[in-house]
Amino acid sequence: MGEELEELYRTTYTTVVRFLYRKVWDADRAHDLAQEVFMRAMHHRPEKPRAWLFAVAANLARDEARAAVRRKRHLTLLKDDPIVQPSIPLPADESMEVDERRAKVDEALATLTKRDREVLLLWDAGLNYPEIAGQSGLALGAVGTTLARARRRLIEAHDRMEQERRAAHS
Amino acid sequence: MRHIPEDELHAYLDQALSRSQCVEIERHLSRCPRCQLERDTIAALRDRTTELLARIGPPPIIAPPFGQLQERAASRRLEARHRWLVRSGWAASVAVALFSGWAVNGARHEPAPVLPGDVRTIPAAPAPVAVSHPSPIAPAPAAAPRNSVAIARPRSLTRATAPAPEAPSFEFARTVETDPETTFEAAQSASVTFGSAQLEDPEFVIQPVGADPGLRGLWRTFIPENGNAPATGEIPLVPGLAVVQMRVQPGSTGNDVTAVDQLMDSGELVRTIAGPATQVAHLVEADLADTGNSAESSRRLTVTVRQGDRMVAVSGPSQAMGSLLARVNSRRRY
Repeated sequence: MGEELEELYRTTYTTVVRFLYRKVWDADRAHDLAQEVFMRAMHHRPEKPRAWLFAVAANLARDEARAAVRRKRHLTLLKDDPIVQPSIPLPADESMEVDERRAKVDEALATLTKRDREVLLLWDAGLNYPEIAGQSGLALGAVGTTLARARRRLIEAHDRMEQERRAAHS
Repeated sequence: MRHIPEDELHAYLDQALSRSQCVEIERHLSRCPRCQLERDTIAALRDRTTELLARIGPPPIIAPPFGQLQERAASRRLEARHRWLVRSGWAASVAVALFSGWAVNGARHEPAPVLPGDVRTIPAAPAPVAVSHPSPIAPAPAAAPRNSVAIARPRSLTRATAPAPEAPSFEFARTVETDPETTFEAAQSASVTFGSAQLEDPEFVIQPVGADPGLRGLWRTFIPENGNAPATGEIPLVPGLAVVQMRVQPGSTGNDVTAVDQLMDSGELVRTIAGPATQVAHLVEADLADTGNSAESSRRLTVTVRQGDRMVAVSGPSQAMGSLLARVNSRRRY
């Protein structure tokens, strides 16, 4: 079991971190949570380890999001400011162009429905179709359709914004 | 010819189809230019999506060595074990402290040895006469064990004065809720300290009473501190319980009948009637006739103890009566 777990760690760690990053939007935190997931796997020795890893990772990310909302609410109450939904933080040392490119992707993603965005990000994190179905609650047969629509809409939204930006510059 | 649906081409490129489905799709693609074009379009879309999402993806991910993770897991297990040990230690300490307190408290309630000269046995004393009122709930005295009585004793008893030689007094210690059946059996089998004398193998009479047993006749309420107490020596009551009312039916010298109502901590009434045996027995009989066999009457009991021409009747909740009798036996003069 130890060797199997090590092999699973080697092949899945990156995917778990990407999966978690899409949920907590913090690379360091995603690493911490991923390591927590694998340490729990060492203790529990699950029968279906890959599915178990993503289920636990999703739970940890959910707890993390709740804690973040609580912290935010607490700070908001202290500062007497309105509650602001958590947004994707951008590293300060990145160039303005990179920031702009990231922002455009964020905006394009924001045009998708919640379900389409979730499925697309799960796929991008490295999950396969059954895992995406398990995480999103979709039927397995609906994952391909949803993913096709989400990809098309993301590219369309991004291209549209790009055209609008060029038109504004010209 | 059926062309390949868009979602199937996405699944094909995502390697989400079975081997047989892949073979079928590849066979079709080899002879369908339109589906080939569609496949290439979707592949480009897929690549662009990947490229766009990579912009908001995490920085390059480098997995820490697996051994490092194992060390962290082992360290965490040790910490958890240490925490468990600390908590167990605390829990054990609390348990020991509680047990010690309980044990010490129990030891303080162990029966004290009977002091020589404290009581005297009067084998020739007038036999206690029972007021015979057979009760369905009264345990048969003959069936009760006659030895090995363990009676709890409170640490501090109410101050008791020496009984007047010509007027034997009755005194009960504080009533404490204990196991009613055991104590009751024990109390029945014990000898009873009765005034200045100790009665061996007394006979108790137990009968149900009402919740508020009535006292027939004319009674006068008195307050001992006001100096209007009857001249019967000490007033029999249960020390330690709050006195609600003290009443007296005056009689000839030393023949007053006293009735003391007291409240237990549970809020239930305990009534002690003392006086000439005939009058007390009459009051108890009248009360029994008044109450009958109601449900309430089975919850309360009256216990009468007689010595010579004097009698004490104590009425109270049946579950406390056993411990009350035990206190009778544990009476000790200081």
